[in-house]
Amino acid sequence: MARIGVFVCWCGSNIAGTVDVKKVAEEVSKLPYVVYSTDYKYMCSDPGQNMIKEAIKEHRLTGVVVSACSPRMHEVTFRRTVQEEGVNPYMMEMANIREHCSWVHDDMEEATEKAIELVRMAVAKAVELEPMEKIEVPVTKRALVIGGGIAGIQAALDIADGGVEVILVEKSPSIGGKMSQLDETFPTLDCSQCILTPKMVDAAQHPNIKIYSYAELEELDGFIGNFQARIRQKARSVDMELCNGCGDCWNKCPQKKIPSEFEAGMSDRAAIYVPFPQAIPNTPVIDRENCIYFQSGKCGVCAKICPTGAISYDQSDEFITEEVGAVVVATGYDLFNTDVIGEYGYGEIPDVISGLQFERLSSASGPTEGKIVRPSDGKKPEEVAFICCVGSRDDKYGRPYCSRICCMYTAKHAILLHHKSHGSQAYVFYIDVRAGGKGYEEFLRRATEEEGAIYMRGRVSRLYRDNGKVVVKGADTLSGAQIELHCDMVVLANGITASPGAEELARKLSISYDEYGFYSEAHPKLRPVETNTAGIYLAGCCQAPKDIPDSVSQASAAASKVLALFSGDFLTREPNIAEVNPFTCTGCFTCREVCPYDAIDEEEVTVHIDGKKVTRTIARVNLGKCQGCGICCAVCRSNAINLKGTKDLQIFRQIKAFTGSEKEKSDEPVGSKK
Amino acid sequence: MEQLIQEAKKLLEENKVDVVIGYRSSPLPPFTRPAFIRRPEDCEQLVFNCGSVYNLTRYLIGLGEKPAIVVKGCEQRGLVVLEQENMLPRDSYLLIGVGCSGQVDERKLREGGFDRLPEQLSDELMADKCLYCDQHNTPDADIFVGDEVESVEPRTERYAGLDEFFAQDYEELYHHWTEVFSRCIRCYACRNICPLCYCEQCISYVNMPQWLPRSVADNNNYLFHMRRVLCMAGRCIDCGECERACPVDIPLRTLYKRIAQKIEGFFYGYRAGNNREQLPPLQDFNKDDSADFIL
Ligand SMILES: Cc1cc2nc3c(=O)[nH]c(=O)nc-3n(C[C@H](O)[C@H](O)[C@H](O)COP(=O)(O)OP(=O)(O)OC[C@H]3O[C@@H](n4cnc5c(N)ncnc54)[C@H](O)[C@@H]3O)c2cc1C
Ligand code: SF4
Ligand code: SF4
Ligand code: SF4
Ligand code: SF4
Repeated sequence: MARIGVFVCWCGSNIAGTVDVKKVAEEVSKLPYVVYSTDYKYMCSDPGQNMIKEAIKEHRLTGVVVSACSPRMHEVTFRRTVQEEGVNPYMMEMANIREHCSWVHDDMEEATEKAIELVRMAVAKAVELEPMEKIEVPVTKRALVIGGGIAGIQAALDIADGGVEVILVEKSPSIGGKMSQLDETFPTLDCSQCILTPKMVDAAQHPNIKIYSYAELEELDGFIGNFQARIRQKARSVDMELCNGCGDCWNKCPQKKIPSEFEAGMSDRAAIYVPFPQAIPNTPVIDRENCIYFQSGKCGVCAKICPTGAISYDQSDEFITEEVGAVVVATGYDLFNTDVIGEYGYGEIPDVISGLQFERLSSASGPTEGKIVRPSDGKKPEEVAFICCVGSRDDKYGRPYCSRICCMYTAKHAILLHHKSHGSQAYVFYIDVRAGGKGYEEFLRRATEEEGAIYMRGRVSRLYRDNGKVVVKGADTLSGAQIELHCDMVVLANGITASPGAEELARKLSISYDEYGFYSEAHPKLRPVETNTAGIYLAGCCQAPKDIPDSVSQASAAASKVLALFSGDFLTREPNIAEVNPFTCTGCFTCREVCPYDAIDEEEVTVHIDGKKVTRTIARVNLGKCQGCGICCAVCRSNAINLKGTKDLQIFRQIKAFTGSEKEKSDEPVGSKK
Repeated sequence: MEQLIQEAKKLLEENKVDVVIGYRSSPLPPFTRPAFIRRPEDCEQLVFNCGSVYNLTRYLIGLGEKPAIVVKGCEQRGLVVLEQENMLPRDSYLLIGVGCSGQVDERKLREGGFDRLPEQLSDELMADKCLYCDQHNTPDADIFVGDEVESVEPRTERYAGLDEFFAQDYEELYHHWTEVFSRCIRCYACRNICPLCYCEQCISYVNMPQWLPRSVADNNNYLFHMRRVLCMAGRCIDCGECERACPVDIPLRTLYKRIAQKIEGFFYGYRAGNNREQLPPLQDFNKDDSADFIL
């Protein structure tokens, strides 16, 4: 028989100022099963907790109701209190008479009445509580990092430095991501390659890091601490062991007219290629779509020329399964496709280019060796317009968000123009400039005050070609004047979008994403690197637009989460997860269909039906995977699946304690074992 | 009929199945009853006619023997649902398909004092589900016996009159149904005969814990029926057995058809059991699913 003690907290005057706590304690002492009740100024203080412990001893309490603040605040505290006195921690229930009562009411009488009802319900539930034990699951101490941009590289390095093996999976032929394409970087103007390349090399040479480039995650199975990642190694058509990276193949390949992704289409590459000279690994891949051999069966030049015989046309995709305990997703971003803005003529007017193309023009390793020239005629541009917020903060293109980096990289572009193209004038069209980072405002002022960039507030309505120039038409919203500017080149600061395939990957990982395809963090402030799926973390632009410093910080944060996860041999998890009643489960597996965490397994049981022995397959909850969301409970027709700690019966009892007739309220619960 | 008997015999003689579940004659309306034939020589008893009203698939779950079973077109949908719900793998029974041009309304037979089945079944005597039937021949049959029914024009519409009926305001509907349900004696015949009510511990009457009050009172009955409607949402195949079995003539299908109509409207024309590959709405999620029904 349950013996419940009720402890009503004043919370100083927070509760006692509006609720007659003495009356609450007295009224609830009359409830069935309540053998002791009292009130105290601060239940969470040491003396308060000691009162609970004393009462447990003296009154042989089997369950405790603390009527105080939100369980978010002190559930853990009071669970520990009762546990210290030998009572199972999950036999403690809280009634929130502060946030749900005293703070939101001012009529003492009514608030007191409500508090009594809340405690009555908590007692009703406490009677039905069951002891629970924390769940322990073993951990595989290896991590998977998806995406080899700066965020993925940083996360991999930090985790590997912590002594943990890392599998780094990169979709493209080389790691490095977008940062490898940049020239100098704001706010310090250090050269992107110079700071990135050493990190790429570190990652490649780290004994704890295994890189799969030109590879993708095919499937993720399992759960926190125990994932199985199935990786598709796409066919490179080149044997990684044999190739020494001499480059004869891409130099001799007759198919050289393929726009280079790395150069943002500003120059061409061969069908067999490494994306850029510092690529890691430095082994080429054959782009089968554009290879003459693969398309028509003729050619085969690379195979003939290769001194080590590394070319392997009949390679096919391979599948590798890696066991890991945690996953960091760092799949980065893509750039807003400016083709859709017809008024800007991107793609039609050769001298209208994207921000990334400007980076390549300005880069010493780029197609022009760092000389800033117009794509149309190779001449030096005297006047260059930069347009901010292209495809950002624009409802018209379904992108109300700020891409966070374009203001800053535009300021950087203006500075680079001033540095590298003497005498050229930069005009920047902006809505408002966002320069919130450390050293950012100073950087912006440098652009305008020292480097001569002219900033004009306004939206550009149209770009068109006239007499070899690009005419920028728009309005200066500060002066109200119409502007018509004849420029030699226009750079569009296109915003950031989710990386292609982001949603598909999210489904493989069972993580959620927002309406734009960026992955959702578990809490915007307090859990910014975790996802809602335990054991999966986020780093870099895949979560939201951000610059390199922020990407790197988040990557290190994710790495520390992974290392913390791996600090013990077992994971302990809260036991509030779903549980199947083997007697009522029919095995229809509707729960499995709806479970977002793939947490329903099968189990064979033998039951007796009408005197016959029948072996049936029923559902079983996977202790490692279940997140306790409760969706399964809602769809189960025969109510065979239940959330421990908030079982239907427990809730049912609470509702009855509140809504039932006077008799029902004090009745022995129907079907209760107590 | 001859073909049915011969096929059944063959199955039993060749030990392909342990039992053939079908129909045999009976002196009382609807003039057949379920037959479980285990010996080849008993196969002569098998009949199939317009009095073969029973939905025999109800017997399949937990049978413990390998059966061949006679299933009409409408009822085959239930087998699809059972397969989708992992209750009955397709290879656990042999499906004997038939052509059915309509079944009698058992109640009308009784009321009309018939002492045998009519030679020719008139629309007046026909079960109303048959008047709008669009699956007269059993699909997916392992063995098809008899002639296929050539195209029959539906005479009524599946959801006829429902929109008008449910256009009444909430109070009126509530009173209407409370009154209708007041006849219910909670015998659970409707639940027990339903081919999709396989839960061993149906929450309609389980008592540990007791979800629904079991006594026959207006409120309790209302709760029982409305809750069962939820179980049937997206699953009821409209075989009509619940209404046939109900001793007090509760028009249960009005409710089940209404929810089926709603689901068909909300979820891309979904009809329970029509397509094995199409996931039931409760198990499927689509970003552009209708949310109009959420309060
Ligand atoms: C024009 C321009 C200029 C910029 N200038 C600066 C600057 O000066 N300073 C600054 O701080 N920031 C700058 N940035 C921002 C900077 O590029 C980003 O902050 C940084 O690249 C983010 O790194 P990331 O690793 O998150 O993403 P990315 O660099 O996009 O890397 C993601 C990686 O993941 C891979 N990947 C994607 N999907 C998958 C998949 N499914 N499986 C496996 N791999 C996958 C991609 O191939 C890529 O290698 C600039 C951006 C632009 C567009
Ligand atoms: S509560 Fe149910 S639906 Fe939710 S994660 Fe657990 S098993 Fe899956
Ligand atoms: S609904 Fe169709 S298949 Fe079913 S009994 Fe009527 S006519 Fe036959
Ligand atoms: S009414 Fe619902 S709970 Fe009861 S047997 Fe049918 S499906 Fe199961
Ligand atoms: S068969 Fe009729 S009387 Fe019996 S429970 Fe169902 S509705 Fe009620």
